[in-house]
Amino acid sequence: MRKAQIKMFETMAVLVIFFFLLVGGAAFYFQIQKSSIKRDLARQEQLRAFQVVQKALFLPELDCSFVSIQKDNCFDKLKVMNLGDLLKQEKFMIDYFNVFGFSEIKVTQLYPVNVTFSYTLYKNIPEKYKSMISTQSPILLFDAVQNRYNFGIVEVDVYAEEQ
Amino acid sequence: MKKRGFEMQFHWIFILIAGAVILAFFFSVVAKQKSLSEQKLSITLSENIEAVFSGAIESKGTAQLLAMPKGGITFSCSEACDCNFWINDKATSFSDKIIFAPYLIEDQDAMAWSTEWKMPFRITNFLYITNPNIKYYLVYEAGKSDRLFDKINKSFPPGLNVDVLRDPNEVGDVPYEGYQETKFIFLDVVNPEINLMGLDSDFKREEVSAINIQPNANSITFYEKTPKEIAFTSKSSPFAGEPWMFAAIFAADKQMYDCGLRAAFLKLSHVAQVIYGRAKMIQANITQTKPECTYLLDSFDVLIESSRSFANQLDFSSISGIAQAADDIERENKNIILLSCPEIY
Repeated sequence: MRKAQIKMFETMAVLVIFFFLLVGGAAFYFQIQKSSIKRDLARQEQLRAFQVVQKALFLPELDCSFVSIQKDNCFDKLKVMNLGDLLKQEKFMIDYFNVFGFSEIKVTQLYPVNVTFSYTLYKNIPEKYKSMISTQSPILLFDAVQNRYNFGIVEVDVYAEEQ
Repeated sequence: MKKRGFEMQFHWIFILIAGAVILAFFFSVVAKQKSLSEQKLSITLSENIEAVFSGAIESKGTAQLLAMPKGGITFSCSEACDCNFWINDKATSFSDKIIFAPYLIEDQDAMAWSTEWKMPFRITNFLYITNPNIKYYLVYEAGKSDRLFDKINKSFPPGLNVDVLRDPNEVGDVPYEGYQETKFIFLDVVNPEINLMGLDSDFKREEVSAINIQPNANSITFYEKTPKEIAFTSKSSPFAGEPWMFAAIFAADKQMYDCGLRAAFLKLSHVAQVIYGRAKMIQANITQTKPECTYLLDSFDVLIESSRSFANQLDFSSISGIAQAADDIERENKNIILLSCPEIY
């Protein structure tokens, strides 16, 4: 073999090793990038879930008001029932998709225990989802007919649709 | 040329080509990474800003400063009322939020301020966004629109650049002060276009807009300047109460205001249906225990139907009917309270 040919093979060998290292480095880098993107996505999903919870808690359709003054973290039972019924209609469901997206919102009375009040306010679960974030918030439930407050929770499950 | 020399040259050409390929590879990776990280940054910023807007919209009555990303935020609504805010190339929908903001907010921190809209029960909150790069002139005829002026002046958030002109003829004396945008807010002024035509010629190439609030006529007129000329085109929209004055003041244009009206009145029809259903349930449950509690709920039909049709067509004639129905419901609620019955809303 001639000297020039050996030199050429040497250069090619260097290039092969170089590209081999490059591919290895790139794979390592993209792996790190992938996990960072996953972390970001999880953070964004949490942020979105928090926003849905916030919207549910401040919804004017459900608030307890007295002489036009709102009570924080309080749902009116009759309003919950009415909105829940309206949201069974497709037209309403479409309008409220803007507000709640893919989520399920349940309102349940915890105390007093002798009265059962459990209402699914909104339910729109995607066929395929990659994650679900569930949040529970304590609320007051106002019974306008009895003029009485009960304790309850609002459970919001927010789903991240699989693309 | 000797064979050895030819081999050497070929070797160098090979190294050059290999080097160029390696360099091109690195350049393409760097360029891709740059655009990817810019996109990622825009998405992260948009998500964060949306969360900030969601928080700000719920804290009604308070003004707060929001840090703006580099390059600013643009706000716009299409004719189909697809409203978005843009950070670089990333568009984020307003979704259910009703936001009124200038077309572009950049350089300085933005001021966000929210108020609630009642009709007569709480319907929704509006978020107004602006910044000190925009100069506002409140123009009114002293002695004629003082009450309207007091109402606006009292509620204006601090930290904005606002000047008051007590005579509409003073518009012609206003100098251009280098602001990104100048907005004249006429308070029930007759023919403000005459005053606008007298604007200083320095405004020719600048961003100028105006509105005229006419509560008695249930109307707000938007004036848009023709580029590079001191000439204005005007179009009117319905006026539906105090929060809508601020909506018109802070909205980028008539389109954004109209889209806000549509979204808000659709929401009104939804909330009214819930409250109507609730009142009927109360009525059904307490007829025997409290027969004195009778609920007159006819106005709800008008409120629900008119607000739904208003959301579709924005017809001026519906406004007075909706306002009347809201007043009737408020009065009925007061009567019900006096009888110690559960409130309608």
